[in-house]
Amino acid sequence: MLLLGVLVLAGMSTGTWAQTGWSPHRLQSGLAPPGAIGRQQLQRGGPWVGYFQPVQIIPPHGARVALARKGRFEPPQQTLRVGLLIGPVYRLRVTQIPHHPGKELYPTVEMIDRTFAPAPLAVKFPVPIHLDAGDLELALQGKFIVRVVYVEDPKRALPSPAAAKGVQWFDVRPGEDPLQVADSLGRPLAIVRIGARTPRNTARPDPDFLYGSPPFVYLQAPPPAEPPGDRNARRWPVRPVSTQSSPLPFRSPMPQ
Amino acid sequence: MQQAETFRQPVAAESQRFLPWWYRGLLIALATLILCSCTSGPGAGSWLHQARQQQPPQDPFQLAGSSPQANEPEGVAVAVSPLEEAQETQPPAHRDGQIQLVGHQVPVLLPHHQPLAPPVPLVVPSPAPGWPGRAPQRIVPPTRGHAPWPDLETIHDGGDGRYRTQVQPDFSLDGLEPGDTVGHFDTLDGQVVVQPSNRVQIYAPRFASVRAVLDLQQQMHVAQATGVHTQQGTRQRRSTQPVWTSAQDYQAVAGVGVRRLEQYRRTQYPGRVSQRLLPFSASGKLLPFENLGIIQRGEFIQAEKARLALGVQAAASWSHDKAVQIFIGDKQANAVAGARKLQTTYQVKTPKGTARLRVVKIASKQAARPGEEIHFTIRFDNVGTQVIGNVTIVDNLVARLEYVEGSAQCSLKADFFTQKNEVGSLVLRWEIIDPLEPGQGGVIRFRCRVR
Repeated sequence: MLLLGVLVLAGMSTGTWAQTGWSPHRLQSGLAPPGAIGRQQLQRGGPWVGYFQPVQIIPPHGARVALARKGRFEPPQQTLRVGLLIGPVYRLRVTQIPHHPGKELYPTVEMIDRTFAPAPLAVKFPVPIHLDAGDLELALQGKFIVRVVYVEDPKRALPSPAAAKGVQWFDVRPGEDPLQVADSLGRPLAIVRIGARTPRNTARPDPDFLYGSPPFVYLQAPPPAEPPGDRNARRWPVRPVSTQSSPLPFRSPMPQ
Repeated sequence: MQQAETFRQPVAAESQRFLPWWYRGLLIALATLILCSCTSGPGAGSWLHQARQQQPPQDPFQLAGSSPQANEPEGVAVAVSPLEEAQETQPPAHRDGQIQLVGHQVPVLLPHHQPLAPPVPLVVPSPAPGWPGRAPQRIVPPTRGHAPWPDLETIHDGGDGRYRTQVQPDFSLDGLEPGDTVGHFDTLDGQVVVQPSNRVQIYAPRFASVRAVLDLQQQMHVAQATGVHTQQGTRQRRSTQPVWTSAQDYQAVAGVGVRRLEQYRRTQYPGRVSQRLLPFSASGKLLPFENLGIIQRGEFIQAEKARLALGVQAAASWSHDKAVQIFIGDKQANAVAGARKLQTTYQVKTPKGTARLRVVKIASKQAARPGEEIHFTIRFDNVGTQVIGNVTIVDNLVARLEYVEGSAQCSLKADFFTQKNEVGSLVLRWEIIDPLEPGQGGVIRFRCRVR
């Protein structure tokens, strides 16, 4: 009788799962402390350890951004093209924020995955990390922004217009984990956190505040575009065809 | 209380009699299994509370027992990275036992404060005293697009996908998936043959991001559970509830927030502009990437195998394990190409001769960013011994490719049709009007813009 009761309880729990849908227990959360997810990625092994992922950090127009090295921030630049390790947390300093003179923000960037580009294309396709002006505005108001950058799954990509260049983004719904949402749409690559903390001494921040100043490398500027191709290419009798559109079906079978 | 004790004893004796020890053990095991199967959502509990439970974040490369200030003078709490140290002591590559090559594909580096210096291969030094962490020393394996590397950054176009494409009696196509490129024709004995092209791979990752905005004051109230019992705590919580957080109930549709690249103007070099004008000026010519014998004359030249493989980027797709199975009616066609050749021809022997159609598809680029245009060229040839008719080339574009209006060209007289597919792109269809004689072929060219 008791065994039957246990089986009934097990069936009820299974029915509850069926009603609520499959809800796996996820070990990683986008709201985890900085560095937690990166450390778990490194523990998995593989080609993440020691790889400098090309990253392009783009602040708003007019703002400047700098990375920390040897316990101090580097000279600010308009755009950072750097190679960041997978796992450590990098502290940035954003200055000259538009419409907020004198204000500074200290976001963090945590690379949790890498791209798998062919060898000559790794630098050509860096992971773009946009420090959006809206994000900086919210951070200056006291909010905490978590932005997860991911690479889209081409099979589930939306047919957005090709003219819309840049990185598309959207807000998650309240209560949703941005890391899980990004994981459902592609492969998360980086977590950017803006807000919350400022150093006590801006001239010489605490090493803990800089997360130990992990190493990074500057990338070379992208090469200019290739010159036009061979203009002495052979002529081919190509005729443009009519560009009319009509629904299927099309023709009748070929006569025997 | 005494009554409860006297009442509980008979029940215990009763359960001792009817429940043997193994039965109770089984019951405990099942209950444990059920309890362990319960899920806990990621949003359960306060993340701030979880963060406080954990240790403060440490450098993942930090060695046990070492501290950033271990070898530094007092008051100079700086962290010296080994890379920085290696760059300061030139040449770094000559330091025996401390410099190790990380990988062949790591980007070209520049020394600190020398943005225009000649490129040097990436080196990462071994652990150096004075820096709290250790440098990575593992050699990065090659990351060509084979398993188990993830393949979310490549657009695949061409070939026949998961489901086999079939031609219906009304000439509509079943099983034509986004990304498929097939050609079909009629033989003299009334059979309809479907011939897929090869598969083109273009490295074109598209990045996106999701954002979550949190109110730290609100999270702090959740952590301060004692404050809500007092009237002041409730009043305080009302005053700190921001109104704008309710706006998150309206989830933004994807694509609403588009952030233009700030550096896009910097890529507008004169050479790039000239390259963008190339398709218009090269109409009627062979484009540079089409300067292949198989595209010009339909002759496969062994010396061009490497260049052709570069254009199709699909040498593995020509092997047997990924070759498309061709069926004509209920008869399977015979492949006459080798396993490693860059062209595959399928044939069906009929009493009136052999009907063969070869379809080769190449792309002008191996990688493209969103917004860039890619030239596609499809070469089709009748390599059989009989005339084939109703030759139709169909290309079902994937969602990431947008057909450039008016860019379709064909070397033979053909009708061109477009139709929207289920992924928001187009199905391109060329119907060759005249039958193809043995040895005759043509070229189709069109452009697509990467979304």
